[in-house]
Amino acid sequence: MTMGLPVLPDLLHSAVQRARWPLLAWGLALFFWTGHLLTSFHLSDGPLAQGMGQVVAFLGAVPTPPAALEGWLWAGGFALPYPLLTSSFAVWLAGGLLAGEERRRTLTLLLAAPMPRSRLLLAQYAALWLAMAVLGAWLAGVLLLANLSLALGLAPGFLLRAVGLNTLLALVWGSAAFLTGALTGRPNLSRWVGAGAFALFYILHRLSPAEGALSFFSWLSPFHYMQTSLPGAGWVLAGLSGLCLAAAWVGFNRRDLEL
Amino acid sequence: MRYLVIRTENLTKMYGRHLGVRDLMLEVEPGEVFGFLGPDGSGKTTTIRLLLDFVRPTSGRALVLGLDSRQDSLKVRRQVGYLPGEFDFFAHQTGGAALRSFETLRGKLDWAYVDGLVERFGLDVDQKIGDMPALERRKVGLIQAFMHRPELILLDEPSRGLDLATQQALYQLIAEVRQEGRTVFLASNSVCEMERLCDRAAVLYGGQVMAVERGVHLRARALRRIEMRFATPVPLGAFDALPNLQDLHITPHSLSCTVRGDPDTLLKLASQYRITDMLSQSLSLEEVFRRDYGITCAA
Repeated sequence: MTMGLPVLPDLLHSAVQRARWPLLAWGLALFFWTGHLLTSFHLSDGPLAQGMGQVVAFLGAVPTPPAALEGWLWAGGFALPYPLLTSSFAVWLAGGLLAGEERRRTLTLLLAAPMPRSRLLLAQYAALWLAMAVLGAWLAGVLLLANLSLALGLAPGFLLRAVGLNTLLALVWGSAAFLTGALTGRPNLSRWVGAGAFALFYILHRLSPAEGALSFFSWLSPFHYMQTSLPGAGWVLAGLSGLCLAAAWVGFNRRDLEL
Repeated sequence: MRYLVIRTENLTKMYGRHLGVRDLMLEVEPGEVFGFLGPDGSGKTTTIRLLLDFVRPTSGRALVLGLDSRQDSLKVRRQVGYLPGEFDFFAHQTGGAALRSFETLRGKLDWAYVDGLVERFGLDVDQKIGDMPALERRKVGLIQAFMHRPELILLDEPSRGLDLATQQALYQLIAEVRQEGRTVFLASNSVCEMERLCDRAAVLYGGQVMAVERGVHLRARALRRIEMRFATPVPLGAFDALPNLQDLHITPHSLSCTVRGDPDTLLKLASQYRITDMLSQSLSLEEVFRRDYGITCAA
């Protein structure tokens, strides 16, 4: 039963190698947006910062630009831009993993050998988590470094938790794309489903009232679990990804492969 | 029950409303080179995918090496070698590293044998697969299909994209495998290849087996279009007695016809006259099927 395990690093290598330049591009985008966001907070008197304040208020769905740095960073970073950047990378990568390898017919020779389908699926899913861990670590590093060098006074625990939840949220959309790929073998469809789910649940999250009878709807959106103060939020997000993986496992083992 | 390397029982595969194969009944004996002859889209690749459990049958079942292709899929794949019609592999790996990867999948290999295959096919094992031209990738595919000395080797359009030298090396290898008592299942749309390599061949069309024939009999099915021009007038009835001519059209200075099987008798008879020009062209498998089974390949 151990046969086939040594090929898994090759699968990981292949996936990570394919993702390295996009990973760098997305990492730079996160870096520059963070730099711009923090710089504009410090220049709070200038016209540039005033314009940025409106943008931050819009992104964070708050009536006025936050006065405290933590609120500014949350509204201008974690409310939408960071989830958008990390999730788009996760969706792009996940769509090209299992479905992409199937489409490229890289899986043909592996599955002609005595390798179980589930093992291939897990290796590809591990590549998604690995790449997202790298991107999450990069964002955490950028924020922690800015916090130290600019003496921002933000709690490192808050930053790490927020980045962790953001990464887990991105993995939910990535997992949805991965699931679609496992069920259909179509990379582009997978990406559209991942992106569509992101947009749909973001709108649901934004439109759901915070209080009252309809506030229940906000609990349906994974964006709700980005709140750092919500206990067990990370487990909910990880659980959603786990559900996608389980469904992908079942579907991929049952369907016809286009090899 | 008689041991068969491949046995399919009413094997049917539908892709939605599109037919893959229908009620396939195949019996492949140990130690034979069995051909699977049919035009593109006739169901050859679908059958191989069913045998390897890449796709699941709509009904019926397949036994490979006595094992159920669906339930004992891993055991089947452990004993089978497969060359797909199309494939890719990790671009970052060299050819040699790719072959070592297959060892981790298939278990300990006889590297003296593998090195012999590498030499025979002339593969550059140090070149990265991502940098390899199609022919070299194909060689990697061929070597990995044979390298673990499997009991059964499934080859899907094995000559596609090969140069003459590699093709000859492959044919030689298939002959050796057969001599060792192992079995080769060869899907192709080339009548000549089938006739040359196979002990028996199933003729597949539209997802159904039309006939199973001895390989040597396939030659008799082959059709060839021949046109000749003569320097001196030829009697109009000179070729009427030849039984294997069709569509015969003759004038005093020219002849055109379709020859079924060997053109030997036609050529011997024609050589009595001075031939100034000659054109010989094999007709497509589709044309052979149209004439033999009255089916058109528009389906």
